[in-house]
Amino acid sequence: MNIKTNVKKMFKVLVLSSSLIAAGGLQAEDKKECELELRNKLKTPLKSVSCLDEYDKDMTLAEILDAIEVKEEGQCLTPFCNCWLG
Amino acid sequence: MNNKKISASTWAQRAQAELGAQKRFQHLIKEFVDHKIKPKIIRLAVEAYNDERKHALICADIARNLGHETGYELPDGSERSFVKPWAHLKDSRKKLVLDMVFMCCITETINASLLNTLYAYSKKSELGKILNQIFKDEVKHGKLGWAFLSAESKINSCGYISEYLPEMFELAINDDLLLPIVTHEANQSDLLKKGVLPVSYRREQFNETFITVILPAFNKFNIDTRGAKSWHQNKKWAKTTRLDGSNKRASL
Repeated sequence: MNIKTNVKKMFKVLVLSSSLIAAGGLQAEDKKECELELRNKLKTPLKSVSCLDEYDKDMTLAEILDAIEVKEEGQCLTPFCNCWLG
Repeated sequence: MNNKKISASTWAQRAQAELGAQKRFQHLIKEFVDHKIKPKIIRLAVEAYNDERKHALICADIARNLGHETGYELPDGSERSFVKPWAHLKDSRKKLVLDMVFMCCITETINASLLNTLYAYSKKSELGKILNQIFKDEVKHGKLGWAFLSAESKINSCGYISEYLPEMFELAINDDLLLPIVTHEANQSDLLKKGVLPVSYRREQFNETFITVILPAFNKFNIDTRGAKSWHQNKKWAKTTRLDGSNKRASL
């Protein structure tokens, strides 16, 4: 078991991405806003968001957007594995 | 105690802890409203309150399936109470911030990190799906704390938090869970399959979370962590025992 690797991701998952919430962030109620933002984001090459590990069908739109934001900082930060959005 | 009993007892403790967390979120929601905290943060806290109740039921169910009689550590309704070292403060805003730091930044972050590790070990099992669901909720709760601290640090000085960090960790961490136990954990993978981290892993799990997640996070918000580091260094269990049998003090 590689605990060190598993734990290391958590700083970015928990702390860095929390700035979105602090800034007025992404909530389920902001669905339309989120959808628009998602559409805009998906216009960008998927390459930059293709390593979000496992696409989880249960993820809410806000969670997906959150994950994209985190991913766009340049590293694979989600705790899931393999490929996201193909 | 065999692995099944250890696991049943662990899940019953988790069920109890989730009930406690639900109660603390209930208190926080009231405080948020009193302090006119952003509605979005309040909504997240209400979600967390509901999540904790759901988690308690799930954990109790798993404990009972493993043979625990009631599913809860304290089925008689008694509570494990403690006096918060900041309870005497007159400044209610500071008390709220310290409650949030203790509840979300420390406790929920430790929980989320633990569940992430447990999930990594059980992804393909039915239990893995449950752990993943709880994990995602705990991530939300942890983020709620760091988001709150991020927002608070922009409008108020949060330096006072540092003096309470050692006591918060002392309250949050049960030494018994991290010290060597007499119990024979013969089959560690069997424990992991039941969603329980063997003691030999627990110390490394906590030490890594403390050093690579929690301390850097507080530092990010300019909160002095020297007292917290001293607290950690004085703990016997901070000396990790790795699976290869080697001993190594976790480095800060």
